[in-house]
Amino acid sequence: MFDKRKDNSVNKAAPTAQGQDHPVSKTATAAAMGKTALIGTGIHVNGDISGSENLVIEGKVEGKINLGGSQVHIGESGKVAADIVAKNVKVDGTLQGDVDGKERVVITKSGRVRGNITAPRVMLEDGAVFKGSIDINPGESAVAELPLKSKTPAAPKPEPAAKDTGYPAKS
Amino acid sequence: MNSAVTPLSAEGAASTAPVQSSRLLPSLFDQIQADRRITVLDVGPAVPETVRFFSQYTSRLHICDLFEERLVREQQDDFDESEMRQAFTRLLRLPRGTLIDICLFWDFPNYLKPHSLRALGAALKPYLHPGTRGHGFSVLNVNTPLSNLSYGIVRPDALCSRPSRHPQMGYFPHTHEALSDCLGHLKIERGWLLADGRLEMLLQARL
Repeated sequence: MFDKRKDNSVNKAAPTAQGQDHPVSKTATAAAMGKTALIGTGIHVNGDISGSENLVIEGKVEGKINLGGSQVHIGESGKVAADIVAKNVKVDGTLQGDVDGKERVVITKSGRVRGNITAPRVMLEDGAVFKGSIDINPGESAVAELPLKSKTPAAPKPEPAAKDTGYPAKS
Repeated sequence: MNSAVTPLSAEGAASTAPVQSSRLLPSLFDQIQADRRITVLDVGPAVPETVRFFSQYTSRLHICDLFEERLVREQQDDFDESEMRQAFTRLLRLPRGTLIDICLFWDFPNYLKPHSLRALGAALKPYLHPGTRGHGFSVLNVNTPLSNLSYGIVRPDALCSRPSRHPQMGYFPHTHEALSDCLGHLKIERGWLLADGRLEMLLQARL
């Protein structure tokens, strides 16, 4: 059911479907070694997927996906109705479900997502369709530019060719 | 509003969306404390610039794209105010207990009939707190045409706009008094007349 994109001989166990256990000892570093499993366009998985390899989904998946230390890539033809836990998630296809991204979630211009996203970094490309909530905690690396209460508000840029109506006012 | 900067898009490339400076946008952030999460409701579609902007902060964005909803586009005459309020509550999909700090209306109120606008105001009420602020566009003169655009935040003092992916909806411009009355507990705090006849609005919760 799963094709291997790299090094087929080293790791026979792919992320498991329909409740099968994954031999962790053989695959603990699989994601780090760049091993990737593929759910092809003709495959429909109905069940939970867990493991430690990266996963590309071009087919259909319904259930839950838990690849906490790995990457999940939903390809353009991929249709996923599942909650996803992964290090990085990229969506080119369709996703209905919540995403817990440990590092980064990207929705590309062909991606369609309905659900809630939690991640330190979330990126949308122009054309991406998203409905739901995005919970972001970027940590201390983020560069803030908001004129928050303790700071002096940024002065507006060039004067618009307009005038203050002095609200509240009647039209 | 003038074109001012060329911001980076979500992937780091130059955004193609025109950027406009905004006089009132900075006021949205006046009451936000730096040490707490910002809760934002965006009634428009998800745009890269807004997500990128709030990605710099501990924040929660609720993006509901009411512009695409059939309820708004085709069915406003089919439901009374109470039914519209219930429908908006469902479409907003806000978790119980959510308190919105910033509400981004863009030009959405101009596409709602009065009873729908009142219904939206009522649907939002449970999620407002005394510090809630909103931003949107209306028109000073109800004969002013409105372009079919989607908006995003590029900087605390700059917006971007691009053609909407949705067809233009029926347009129901409201006077400022009507708008303020219909939105219930969100009152127009300040307005800024733009060169094209639109009015940029800063709204403030009055609870």
